[in-house]
Amino acid sequence: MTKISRTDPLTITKDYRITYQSTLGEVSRFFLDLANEGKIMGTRCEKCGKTYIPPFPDCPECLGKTSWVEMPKNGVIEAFTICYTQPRHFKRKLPYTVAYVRLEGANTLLPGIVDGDPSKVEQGSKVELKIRVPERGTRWGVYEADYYFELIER
Amino acid sequence: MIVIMGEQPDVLSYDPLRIVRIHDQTFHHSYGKIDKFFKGFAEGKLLATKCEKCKKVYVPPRADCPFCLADLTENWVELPKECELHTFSVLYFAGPTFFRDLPFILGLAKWPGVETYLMGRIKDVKPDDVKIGMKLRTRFAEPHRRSWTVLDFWFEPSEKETKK
Amino acid sequence: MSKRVAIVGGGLGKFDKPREDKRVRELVAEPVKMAFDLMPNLSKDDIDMGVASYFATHFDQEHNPASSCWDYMGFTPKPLLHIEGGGATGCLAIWAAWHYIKAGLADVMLVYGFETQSTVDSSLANEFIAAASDTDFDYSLGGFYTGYYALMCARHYHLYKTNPVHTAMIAVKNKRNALNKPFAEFGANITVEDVLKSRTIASPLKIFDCCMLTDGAACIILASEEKAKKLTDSPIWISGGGMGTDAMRPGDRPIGAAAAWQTGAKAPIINPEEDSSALAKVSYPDVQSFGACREAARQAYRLANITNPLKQIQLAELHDAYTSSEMQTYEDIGFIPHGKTGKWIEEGGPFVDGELPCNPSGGLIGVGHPVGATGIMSTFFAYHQLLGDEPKFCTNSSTEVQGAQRAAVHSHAGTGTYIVVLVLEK
Repeated sequence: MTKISRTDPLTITKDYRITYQSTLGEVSRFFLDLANEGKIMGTRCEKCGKTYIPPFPDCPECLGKTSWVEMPKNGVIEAFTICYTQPRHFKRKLPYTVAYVRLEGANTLLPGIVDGDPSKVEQGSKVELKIRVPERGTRWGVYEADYYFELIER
Repeated sequence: MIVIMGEQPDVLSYDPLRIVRIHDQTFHHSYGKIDKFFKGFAEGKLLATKCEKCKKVYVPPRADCPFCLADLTENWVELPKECELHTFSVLYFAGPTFFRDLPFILGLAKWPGVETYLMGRIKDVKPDDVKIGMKLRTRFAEPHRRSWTVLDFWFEPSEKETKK
Repeated sequence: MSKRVAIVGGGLGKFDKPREDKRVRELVAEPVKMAFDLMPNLSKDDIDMGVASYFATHFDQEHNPASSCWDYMGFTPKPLLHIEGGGATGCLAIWAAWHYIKAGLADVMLVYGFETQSTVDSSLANEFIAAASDTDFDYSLGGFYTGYYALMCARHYHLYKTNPVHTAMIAVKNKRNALNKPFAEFGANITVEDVLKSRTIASPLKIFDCCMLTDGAACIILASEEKAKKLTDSPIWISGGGMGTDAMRPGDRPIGAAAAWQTGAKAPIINPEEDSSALAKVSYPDVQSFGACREAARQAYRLANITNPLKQIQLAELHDAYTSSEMQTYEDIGFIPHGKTGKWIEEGGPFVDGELPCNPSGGLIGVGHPVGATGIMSTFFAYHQLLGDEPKFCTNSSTEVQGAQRAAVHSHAGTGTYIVVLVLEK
């Protein structure tokens, strides 16, 4: 039964459900190792040595081959913001902190949620990356932050 | 956009990793300046717009004349119940929204003095009996079956055709 | 005086359904890396600007893949355009890049095209593609592209006495031409009878009359005359380009291209064998014809000094999303006068060994239709045919058109809504 939301002009309501089958392609390894090995995997260019996390399977500098490297779990916050509202499907406790972290040795910044009291987060804060092991089976996707950051107390 | 994400996505394969994501959208779609066309079904009428200056009639209706850009929203004309079939196709495949109607017949109907052809479903006839040039008549959905879309009208062979 | 523009290189990824081994950005890097591998004296620094060619974002949840691909391949901060025009997107993007170089705004441009359609099942994929048509009227009846083309084909059969054997011959030709192409998946050795016996999707089109949903990517590199001569010994010139538009609804075709011509009697003549009175007699423009193609061809031939396409062009890569679309295109691209295509097909005209080989690449029926990549794939093959090294990308030389000097490349969208015609010349 089509619903009418207005009669002047005539406006109808259409509900549409799309089911996507998405591939993680060459970055599948990032998500698999996250859940199965408890590791954060980045890629390193064989030619220029740059290290990318999130991973770039092809090096953006030279379009050359990269190989997978395990990233250390310690890093520094280079940018952050505190969120007082969230997308409808998130169920986080408000407010929460989102940060861009430079893991040791990385040429790029990795985004993630910083656990704990937002008022304690500072530019340059040292963090440790933690991996949340899911309760039932394995989970895919970073939407619910399978990894997150914890402030390292001085 | 409403994205249902709180659920665990299903995994289709591990190498490469493939997951299922569900995406729900709700649109509020307005018929704008041509809503009279759809309201016409309730009166058993198929309406078109006419440009007095260019002497052209358009169906599906156009709110602005494509030749002189005049506003046509006050110039509606009722089309005759009878029309002729310009071309057609019997569809055996469709998108998921229309799958349950398969097979169905789509055709382009034409009227003398009308510039363009109107696409519509052709019902009450066997696919083998549909012929280019046959005479059709317009029918409308009963009030309780209205969808407020173009599915509320369709074409059937006219009496002249059925008498042949 | 605007500059001359040449094609200096390109790359082709594997077209398949699905290409689940790569995400979109990794898929696009594949032909781009191939293009750089094929041209050792081209470096990333030589590229001044890019054009991303893709049609849909609703096939997956990433809505700005153009930028993601450009940054993934490390071309930032160079300027980037995204060109979209339905099925014509590939050649439309090349046509756009050609303008930038002619105007002196860039010297070397990378045009990359891609599409992934395997993220949803084929029924929904067809519905998504149908959403790029008139949604209040045609789509909401359950119309989808195969249905629209079938309606047009039925009218062509009725008016010109063409029949399913003619369109089946096009399917046989294109699928056979794709057999020697390792990048393609839909090559097959079928007969006219196989086509006629196959499942009807929308009468009169059968499954073999339709191109398949595919994932894939391709790229082309264009350069100004000055730069082209530094990058390669054999630039292939784009001597003509044109673009035409027409009504979105097939039912509005009489007022589409007619906006300029009003009647068939005033339609431009692009084929010396045709005349206005013949067109006026057959209710032109109408659903059986593509006025936008006539307009695009008129512009392209005028620039390329072509007055007799059939005699002056040696091969054509046409957009055969449906066999009937290729058949209708022969008339409006100026190869054959209206009403005479059936006979030309029977005489083998468009076959590889015929008068004007059409789709020696296999076309969309033979290789698939990853929308943003298709026109680029067509251009890639026409380019290599003129260079004389097409067999390099094939397992044998059975589809080589030897001695070709000029090629026409054509890309088509909607129900004949946007059409691009390019002329390539040695």
